[in-house]
Amino acid sequence: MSNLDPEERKQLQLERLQSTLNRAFRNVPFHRNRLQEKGLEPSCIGSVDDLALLPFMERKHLGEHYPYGLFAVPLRDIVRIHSAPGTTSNPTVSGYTRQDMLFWRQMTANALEISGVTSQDILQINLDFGLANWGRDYKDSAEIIGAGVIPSTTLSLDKQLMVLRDYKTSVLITTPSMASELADHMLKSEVNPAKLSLTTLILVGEHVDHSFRELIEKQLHVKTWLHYGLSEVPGPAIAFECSEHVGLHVNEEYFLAEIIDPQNGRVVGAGRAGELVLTTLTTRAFPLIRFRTGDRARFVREICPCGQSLSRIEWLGRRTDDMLNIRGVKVHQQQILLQIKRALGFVPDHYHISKQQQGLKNLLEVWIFVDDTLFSDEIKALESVVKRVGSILHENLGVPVTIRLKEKDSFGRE
Amino acid sequence: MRVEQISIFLENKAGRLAEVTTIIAEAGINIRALALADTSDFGVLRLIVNDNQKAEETLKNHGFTVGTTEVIAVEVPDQPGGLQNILAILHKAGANVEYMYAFVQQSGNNAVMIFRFDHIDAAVKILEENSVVVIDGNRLYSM
Repeated sequence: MSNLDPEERKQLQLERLQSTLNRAFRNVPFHRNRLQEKGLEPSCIGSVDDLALLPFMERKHLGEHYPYGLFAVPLRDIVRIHSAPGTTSNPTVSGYTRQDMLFWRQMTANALEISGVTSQDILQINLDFGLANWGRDYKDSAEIIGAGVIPSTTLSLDKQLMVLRDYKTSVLITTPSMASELADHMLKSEVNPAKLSLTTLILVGEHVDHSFRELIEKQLHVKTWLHYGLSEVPGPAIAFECSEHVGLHVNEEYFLAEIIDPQNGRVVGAGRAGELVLTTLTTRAFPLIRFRTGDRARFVREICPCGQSLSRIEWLGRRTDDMLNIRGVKVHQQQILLQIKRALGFVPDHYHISKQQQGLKNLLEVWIFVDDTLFSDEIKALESVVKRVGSILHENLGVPVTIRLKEKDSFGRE
Repeated sequence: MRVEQISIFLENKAGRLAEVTTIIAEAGINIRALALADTSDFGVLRLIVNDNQKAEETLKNHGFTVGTTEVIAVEVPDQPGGLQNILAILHKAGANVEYMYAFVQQSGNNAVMIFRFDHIDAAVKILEENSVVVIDGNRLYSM
């Protein structure tokens, strides 16, 4: 638990911010050029509030500098490399120094401890492979605490339930989507949740509303804890809930959070909703400077009764950009189109991309409107379009995908 | 030798097929043969009609995606083993039938089947070498 007083924390943040900026300015042409374009250099930032002078980083920048263009340390200092689907044809590649990894683990371990996880717990991780990076971070961090970890593997609902019951899992880390699928499956399999050892459900990757939490807590007989993270730059617990469950505390010694107006880029007034912007303070290998997350949030102004002085954000639904959050994995329209182009050799004139609810499961649904170019009198040729596009999207985005062929005349009507 | 077939992309939803047949009927076009291939989501309707150009234009004007494909019409003796004999010939020669369906009218005492091949010339050659009657398009449309 972090309990620096606000002034001490501000000083620590400033020192860390300046060292982040210095390193980025010195070693990463992207950061240097953008600061210079604004006539700035790191020494211009004399207080944390001066952050607002700096330009924003967006997701597209991560892909544009593929693979190592945004690394601020030499490759020999990198101990781990992660990649995540980006917004361009290139994935987002991020690197970690040994020290970066230690910080991430500590940060995530703190969040787990605040969620009540101890060495007595059996902790099961269940995340889609699009969130595999988070799975590893949670595993490492839970091991630091000394919990018994069942790492994430892709299991059928039956198997998950079997592990949950027979291995006496007490803490489950998963997405809200998967949690509700599991709860539903439990009901159908006539497994009594009250007889399970499960007490704690840590929800990641998706915003949840109050009614969802009430329902899932009642169905599974658990307490839920919400964590917030970025999937591009793995850090599953950038912000986390405390025992009050009102807003998420931001790990402010490692991150600076701002809320901006997504239209004009200005920092909004205290307590107003806007887009969450994050700046890394300790990350050596892959610093983010004013990274626009696309997530909507607002600061909770009141001091938290839990006693922690870390500021809280309320994570709001909807996004400020056109990314879709599918079971915690963020997918971008541009990325989807590029994969369709890879599969077919061209982008169809008419398509529709959406997030669909299929029972309890949410998935990515892509409609392709069949025109002369795509049409064939042979079913197998049309089915092959469905298969090719479906498998390339699934493989590259790591989320379930349904492809539907539609009559071109219905475009815009449905 | 060849027969032109039109094919139409259809979503699997109620009443869609009837819409196509209504449009064709209202344009005064006669359907000579029809086959529908479908999956759970969509289907392809294949038609032999007496006026391809008109059918294609009319359907396109109604917003359908329409393709034309060349197929062949083959006389099949209307007796046990008639079709089997032809398929055996094709199989032996290695010609792959993509799909086939029956024509409404008979040609004399013979049934008529529509065949779709990937390599249409090769298939026609095989059939004719084996004395199977391949019906010319013009004759078929007027049958």
